[in-house]
Amino acid sequence: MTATTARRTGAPRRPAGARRANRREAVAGLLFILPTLVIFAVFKFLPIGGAGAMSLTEYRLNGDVTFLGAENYTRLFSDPHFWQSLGVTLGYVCIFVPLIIAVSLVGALLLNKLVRYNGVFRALLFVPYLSSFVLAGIIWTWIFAIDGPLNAALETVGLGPVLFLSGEQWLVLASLAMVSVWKGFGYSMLIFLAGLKAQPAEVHEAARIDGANAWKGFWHVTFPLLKPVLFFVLVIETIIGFQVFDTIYVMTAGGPARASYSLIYFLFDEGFKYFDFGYAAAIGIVLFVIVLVLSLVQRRFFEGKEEL
Amino acid sequence: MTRRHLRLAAVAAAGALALTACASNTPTAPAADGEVTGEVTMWMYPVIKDEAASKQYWADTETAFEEEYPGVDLTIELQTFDKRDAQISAALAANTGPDLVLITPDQAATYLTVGGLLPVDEAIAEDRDAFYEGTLSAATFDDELYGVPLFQNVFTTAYNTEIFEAAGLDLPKTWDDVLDAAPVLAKQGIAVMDYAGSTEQTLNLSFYPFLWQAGGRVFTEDGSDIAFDSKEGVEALQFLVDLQEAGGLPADAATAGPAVEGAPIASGKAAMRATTFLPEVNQMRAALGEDAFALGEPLEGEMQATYGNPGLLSLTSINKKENREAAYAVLSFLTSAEQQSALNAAAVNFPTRTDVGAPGEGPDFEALGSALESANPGEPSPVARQVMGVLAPYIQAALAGDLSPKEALEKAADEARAELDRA
Amino acid sequence: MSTTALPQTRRAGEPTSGNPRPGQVPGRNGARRRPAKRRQTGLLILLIVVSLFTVAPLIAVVVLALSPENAPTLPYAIPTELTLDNLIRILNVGEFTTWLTNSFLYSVISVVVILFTASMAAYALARKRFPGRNIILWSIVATLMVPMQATLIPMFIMVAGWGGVNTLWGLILPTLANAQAVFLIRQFVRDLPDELFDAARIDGAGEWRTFVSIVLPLIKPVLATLAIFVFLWHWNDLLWPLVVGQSDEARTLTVGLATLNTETVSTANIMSAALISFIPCLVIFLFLQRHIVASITSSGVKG
Repeated sequence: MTATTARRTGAPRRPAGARRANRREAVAGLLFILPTLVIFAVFKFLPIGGAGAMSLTEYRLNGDVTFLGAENYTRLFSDPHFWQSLGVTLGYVCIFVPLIIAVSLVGALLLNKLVRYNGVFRALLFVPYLSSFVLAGIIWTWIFAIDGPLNAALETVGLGPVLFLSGEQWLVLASLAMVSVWKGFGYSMLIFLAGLKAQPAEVHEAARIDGANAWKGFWHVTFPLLKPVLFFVLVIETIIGFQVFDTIYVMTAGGPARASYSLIYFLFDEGFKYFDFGYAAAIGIVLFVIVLVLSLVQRRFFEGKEEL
Repeated sequence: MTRRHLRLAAVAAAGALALTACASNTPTAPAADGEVTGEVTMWMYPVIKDEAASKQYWADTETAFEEEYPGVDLTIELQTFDKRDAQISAALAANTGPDLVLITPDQAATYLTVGGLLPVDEAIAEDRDAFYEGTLSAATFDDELYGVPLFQNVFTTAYNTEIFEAAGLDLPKTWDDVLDAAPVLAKQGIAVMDYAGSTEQTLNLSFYPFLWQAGGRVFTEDGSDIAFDSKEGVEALQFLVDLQEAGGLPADAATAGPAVEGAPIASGKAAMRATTFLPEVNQMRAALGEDAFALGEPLEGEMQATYGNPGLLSLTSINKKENREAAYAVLSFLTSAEQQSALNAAAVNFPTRTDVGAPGEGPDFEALGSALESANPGEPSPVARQVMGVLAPYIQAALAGDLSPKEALEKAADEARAELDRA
Repeated sequence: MSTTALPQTRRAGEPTSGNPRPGQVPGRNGARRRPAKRRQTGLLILLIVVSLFTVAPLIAVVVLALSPENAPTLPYAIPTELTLDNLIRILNVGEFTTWLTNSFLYSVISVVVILFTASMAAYALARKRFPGRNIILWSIVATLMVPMQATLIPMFIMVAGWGGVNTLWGLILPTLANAQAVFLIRQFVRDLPDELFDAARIDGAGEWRTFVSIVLPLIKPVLATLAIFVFLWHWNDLLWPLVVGQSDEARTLTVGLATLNTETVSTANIMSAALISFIPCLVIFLFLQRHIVASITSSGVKG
């Protein structure tokens, strides 16, 4: 593993065989990461371990614990609701992730291009991220309603009424993804923007002097430089997509007929409606493994053998 | 390391269980001078609408109680309805939280199943006969009472009288009336009735009242089997599906929530709601005018039926033995006739005791008072919530026309029986 | 040495002049890119359209929050009068100042600690070689993939066991483990030009000085961006503060406002609460967003 890290791209060059320098670097690195590591060990690794342990038990509210072994997992894999909600979640992720990345990237590129009124538009575009899910839910439920403004607009062109939140499954998931994108794209947009701002101006100038058009400039200069940020956004938005809950909670409650019953909704019901903590923890662990595998695939896809 | 934690917790819990078992058999004797002592924390929810009044009311109640029981330190904390189950269950799991908490019968059943509640029969041993039998039975599991009913919300039919008048229709009292009115109003783009099919809405306020009106039940009498897939169940669901097809329900009824604001009922696009309680009627009137709405008796299918929802004060598993008597004292105090009438006046709820009158006068209270007579407090079952969880999506499927009522209920019953078996 | 297109592209723009001395914070003016003057009318119109899409619903929020409670309002009618009553009623709730203070402490302390510790960790993960580095990085990122709802109970049992219920530390400490912050800063630090670090070493700058005087100034735009997010996440957080703060005095504003909602809460009330909670967020955003400025990195290389 040190062999791969040694080839790390940004590593400062050093004379070979400077073992002491290497050791000093390692010590410095460990000291720098120590505070974070301690915090994570106590407040992330420990509770996650606790959830893992809990998933092997029947954990009752009065503290009564029965060890079940893998029973929660075998039950989960034979539970049709699990497979159903996995399907729902995958469907949602497939709509949500490309959509939010596209919207936030375009937003960031537009803002980056803008010479004047930069701050104003950045604020205007970012504003939905400041709102809460409850608020987004109320507003968009109204917009999507049968007698809401969207259907009124469709009616004027002779369409509809469309059941955005209670009709076809793909439409419900797409509508929910829309709301999540509206509420959430400000996050990735600002990160893309930070990535764009961090790009050296001279490479863009060089490209312009070389006579590259806008698209070529983007594809050959901006995009490759944005890759680490894009990787970050992709990983994070995939995680956010898989953990979709609030939008669904405030808008469809998993309906109609489980058309939007996501994995976290399933987890939340089992954990905090029926208080089957062990089973809920098992759902959480399985979801964790799925997303972890996907992220590792994304990482491989993105950087080949390079470390990210 | 963490597993060891869990095992330690298990051992500790076993010990605690043994203690609580002893405790319920031999309640702690009051202090030598007969004074009840202890510390009690109670979680209350905003049942009183005005926030300032709510705060004042519970602060005063705390003082009044402590005057009567100077040995008891009572703390009343106002909590939020939103995500309340997550908050309560986390508190109980971590053994830090309320001794007493206000919950619904469905919640009580679920908390009891996972060891979160203790029986409270002793708290009202002397007073028991004063309570409406129905409100007690909603909180009774295995012959033990797991919550003292503090108040009742009663639900009944609300009509947009202007819509019916304008259409020249009498206010529908029976299913047949509703079915007859549906096509007439549908022509004007109005649904005769709204329906909150959202799975976050308790079925006690959506499907079950129709099931009861058809003469059906959710569970068999002894609670050992599922009964909603009966002939009556199919009739009830068929009634809703027929309405939907006739344009008698809003097109998105299957996923609609119970909110009034922004809903068809508040925009004149729906003409009645089968299960309404007073605060909702006030919201409807606010939206469409003071005289536009009136409350009527519960709808009648085979019979009249509606839902009456007792708010239960339940004793949680983290209540320590030395605070048991004090908790009983709080329960007995708060559910006394005097306290109930004060709370009902402030919160505009109905009492759970026969010796306390209705919270107000006038046509609304008359309608609600008569609804009380046919109010079902919900069918108690340890898996009440799980059964709702499996049934609600199938009702949505039936309303969408994906399944016939019979198919939907049969499939739901299969899943519900599996839940029952596991419990 | 490297095989990615990334650093090579950068090296294409190899510094022509001398490297900056460590500690020298590049000026903003030199950094601002000045594209050839072009008409941006099309761009402006496009952005205005997008802004309508993002902002219109929030105008509705303001209108709803200011609507008298028992009067017809949006979406059915344009309200005939507006009132501050809803807002004033909430501001007059006894514990309002306590909630506000708690929210500020929760959010601001978290921002400061997270930004600082995460920058340190990110620096180590991006530019230091030490055993287990990759595993540490991915362990941290992987914690994001475990849904918070699944760890809530074990976490709360732990914190409650240590006596953290109703305390500020019980509220804040567990939320300081922020993997997104570490991951994001690391992606940026990793891409800082090597030359800066070489220069720092030649100048004999120690690790700490390199971190404080080179790394931190260079990643300021990212830190400003992150500060906004960390603040918002904590400010709007509901579940954890709800579970840890059981009593009125221990609540954050978000939770406190939720306790005012009755079962049949009116939209006007929800919107007023939302508006009140929203304003500090907006202020913080407007304050911090000025720091998300043009590329200092490039000017750093340019010198």
